Amino acid sequence: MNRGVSMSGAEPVRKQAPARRALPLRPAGAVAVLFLLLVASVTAATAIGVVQLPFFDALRVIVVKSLRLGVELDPGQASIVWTVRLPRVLVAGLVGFALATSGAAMQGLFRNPLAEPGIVGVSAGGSMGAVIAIFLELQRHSVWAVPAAAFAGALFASWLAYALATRSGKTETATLLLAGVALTSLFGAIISLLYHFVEDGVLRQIVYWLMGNLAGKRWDHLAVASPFVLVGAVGLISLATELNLLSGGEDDARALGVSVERVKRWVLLFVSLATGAAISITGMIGFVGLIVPHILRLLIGPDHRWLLPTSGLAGASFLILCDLVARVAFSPIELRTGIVTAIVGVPFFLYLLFSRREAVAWD
Amino acid sequence: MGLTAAASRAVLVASGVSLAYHGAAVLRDVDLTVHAGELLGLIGPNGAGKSSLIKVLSGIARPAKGTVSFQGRPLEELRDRERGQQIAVMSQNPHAGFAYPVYDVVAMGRYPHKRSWEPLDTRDRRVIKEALETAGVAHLSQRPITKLSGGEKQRVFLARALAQEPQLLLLDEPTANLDVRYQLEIFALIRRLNQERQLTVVLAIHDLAMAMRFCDRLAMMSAGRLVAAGAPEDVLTAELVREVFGVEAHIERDPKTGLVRIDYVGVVS
Repeated sequence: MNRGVSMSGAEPVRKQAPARRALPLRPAGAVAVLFLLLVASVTAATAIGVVQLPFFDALRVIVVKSLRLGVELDPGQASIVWTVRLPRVLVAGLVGFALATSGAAMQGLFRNPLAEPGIVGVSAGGSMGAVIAIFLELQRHSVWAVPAAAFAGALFASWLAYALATRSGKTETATLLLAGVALTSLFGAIISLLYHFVEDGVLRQIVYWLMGNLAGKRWDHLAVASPFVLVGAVGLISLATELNLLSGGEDDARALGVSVERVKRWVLLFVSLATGAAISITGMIGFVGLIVPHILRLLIGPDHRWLLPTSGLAGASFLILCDLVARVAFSPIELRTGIVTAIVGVPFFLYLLFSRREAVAWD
Repeated sequence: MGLTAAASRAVLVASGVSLAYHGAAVLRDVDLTVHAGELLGLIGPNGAGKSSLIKVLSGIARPAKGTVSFQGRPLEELRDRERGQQIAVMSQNPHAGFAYPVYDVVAMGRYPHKRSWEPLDTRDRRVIKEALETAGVAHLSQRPITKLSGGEKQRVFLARALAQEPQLLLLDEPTANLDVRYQLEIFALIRRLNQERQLTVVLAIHDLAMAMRFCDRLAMMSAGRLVAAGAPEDVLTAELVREVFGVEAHIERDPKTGLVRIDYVGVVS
């Protein structure tokens, strides 16, 4: 095919330099490291607490219980690890995974470094759903009323933003972003309005929900949320190649053969499922979805085929460790996990930003 | 005119194409035929609709009225990937968004030929390597795209378009903001691709002397309409330049070099 057509004389043809990797980690290595980090995080978070357990004992309980091995366990240890701590730890992991994967996808879709999972109104819609459910005291009928209302609110909000930004089959990304911002403000105002009409006890419940919390999470929380998170995350990862092409702009992506409108719709749906399910059981937890993808982009590069799964893994460990700090730092007082995500995440992010600035450059 | 009889087969036919953007008409009733193997230049002042026409001809934008057909089939009947295998576009300010390595950017050109997660095979790698070499950016393949100069970037995106192995290449002012040397190099490369690989090229170009020098045929646009199409000498006349650009120009062919010289005498009052 090459019949001697070349840019002769453009520049003396330099010998190709030995493949120079500008990035600190190879993607496959990063997956291995992050996987080990996740195992270590889960172990540490189940071992450390008011009752301290040796790491090995905690890990043994997890392995024996999850593989249903017939090994004798200390009942006290087993109960602390398996019944009390592990569900909470795994919920933290699931939520971190969902938010970080969604955030990475949204930053790619919107080609905007400030994009985060809730950017199209998902988190505000979820909050409004939950607050309305609390306001109507629906939780008296079922413990699942508030999460269900939050999930419904999250899906409703992203559908509304999508509908507002879509004209004759085309969704304009800039409009979608603005619609999301507008809806977030509107839902925030509605929530504030409801404050005026509730008693102190209900108000406390509302604020407690809005702050995002991981306390008291059980196995059934995990069971209910994980299918949606899984479908969302697998769906987003399946669209990774398209997200790579979309980051150069929609016109160019279309010229390369990407079905741009369809990809945008699916990304929105998958993000709404994963993020909506995550925040419906814990409330919105900030910074994870914004910062973790940036950190991973600095470490392994921008290829979404690696960025999405590694962000998910890193997000899971990050939130598990932040929640651990929140639990034990000022024990017996528990901090909000969101405070810790910000205090730990932001300085680390800024360090990476200034030491490897060019890698975050948005072209 | 440089068109052989065999090459006068129509590749792309636009008929009665109109397009509006936010309510303002940007293309009005454009009829244009692109012949196989030709290098067609689109000229006209800023805002005449050159970029819009490129978008409509490439299937990036769908016309509000009229049709564009590629090898006899309406463009909208082609699946997105199918279109990407046939038609490549280099837009006016192409960018990658993130700091992808040059190799990965060029590899994106293989997307229409593959399923989404399908890894590159030997043939893909060969096509990518050739595209990198042809565009003269093979030595940059591990560099992040964000660290290249304007001229280098432009060549990377040209390489990406070549990696699509298209029948038809559309370029929207590929040398905007580049210095003279890059301009000449890029145009010479496009000319050679056109001649040696029979690649059909449509090129929006603002430099009239370059247009006259490199194109087989020119189409002149003004306010969204096509006002003339044909051999460069017939389209680029002092009268049409005065009428469309509002500029008084002397156009003459230098007998020694055979190159066309355009002197802009002044603005028509």
